[in-house]
Amino acid sequence: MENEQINSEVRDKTGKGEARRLRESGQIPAIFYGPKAAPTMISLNYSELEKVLRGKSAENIIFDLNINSDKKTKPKTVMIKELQIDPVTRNFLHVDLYEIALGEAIEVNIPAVLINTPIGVTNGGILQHTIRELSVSLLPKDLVEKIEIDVSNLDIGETIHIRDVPFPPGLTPTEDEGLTVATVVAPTVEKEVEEVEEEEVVAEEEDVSKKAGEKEES
Amino acid sequence: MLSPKKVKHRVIQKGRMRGKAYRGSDIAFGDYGLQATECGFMSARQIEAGRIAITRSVKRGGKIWIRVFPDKPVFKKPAETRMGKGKGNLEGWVAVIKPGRILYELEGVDSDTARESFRLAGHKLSFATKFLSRSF
Repeated sequence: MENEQINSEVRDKTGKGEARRLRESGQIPAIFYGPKAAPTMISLNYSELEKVLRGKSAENIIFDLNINSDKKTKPKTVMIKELQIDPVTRNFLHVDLYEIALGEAIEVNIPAVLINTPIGVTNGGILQHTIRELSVSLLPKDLVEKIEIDVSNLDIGETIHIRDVPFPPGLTPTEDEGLTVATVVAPTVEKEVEEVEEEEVVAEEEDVSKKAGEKEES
Repeated sequence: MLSPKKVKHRVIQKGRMRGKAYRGSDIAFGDYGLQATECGFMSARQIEAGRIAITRSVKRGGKIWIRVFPDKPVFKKPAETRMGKGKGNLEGWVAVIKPGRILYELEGVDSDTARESFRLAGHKLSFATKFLSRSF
């Protein structure tokens, strides 16, 4: 399978002012590095990156990076090491691109997706998805977008652990195999808040304000 | 209502709200979240009112997480009091909310129910909010 390509340009100016100017011009500041590559500050086209990342988990994408200033070298195979996102607009702010060797194992987090409705949920239970990303070691060629886990047989009180997950061939879990991935718990019935409890809180607050008053008087 | 069990400093200054909430701005536990898009104070009463609105809307099933805690005391002088003579009395506890902060999370309900629950909870607050869901 051929990787998608992203073009980039080497940048020499740093700082938040320059980064903002880049973002306003439709670019995004990034850095490229690897075990054998020296860190290089680059800028990417925002829409190109968005096209590659759309609907995918940022960690599970391998693509080819063309560094334009150096046309003699062949494209670098990279993956996203870190993606900074604006918390409100959800726009990308900065990307760390990590060079990988196709023959060496890498450690990534792959989304665990639960499929089908558990028996326990039809019986009134609540499905709790505890671990949403599974840490695995794999060769870049074995990278998958997500790991699907069938939970249809899960009843109330039953649990799926990492050792029960059907990992695709080539993927080795790096976390403790006893960790819980998903469980179906019995529903909790909402109780009306007891008045006694509220009164206690109000009394405590009054105490604090009284003490404050006493201090002021003294 | 939520309030701290004990505090290091009984009285603190009002402070200012600047910047965005980079921490606590991602959905961590549930499938859906209510995110603040403006800054403001969220009082313990508002947190409780929002929680009740969500719980009543969901009816049964579903799990709710409250991602904020009111740890800041607010003080108020009595009505018709001249200025001066020290700080007012304790009025209540608030959480400082910056844009991007996730306020509540929900799991175990469908998208429409979650959206409606968060719409109702959002009406209890003094700042704008938006609905978020996980991509996976």
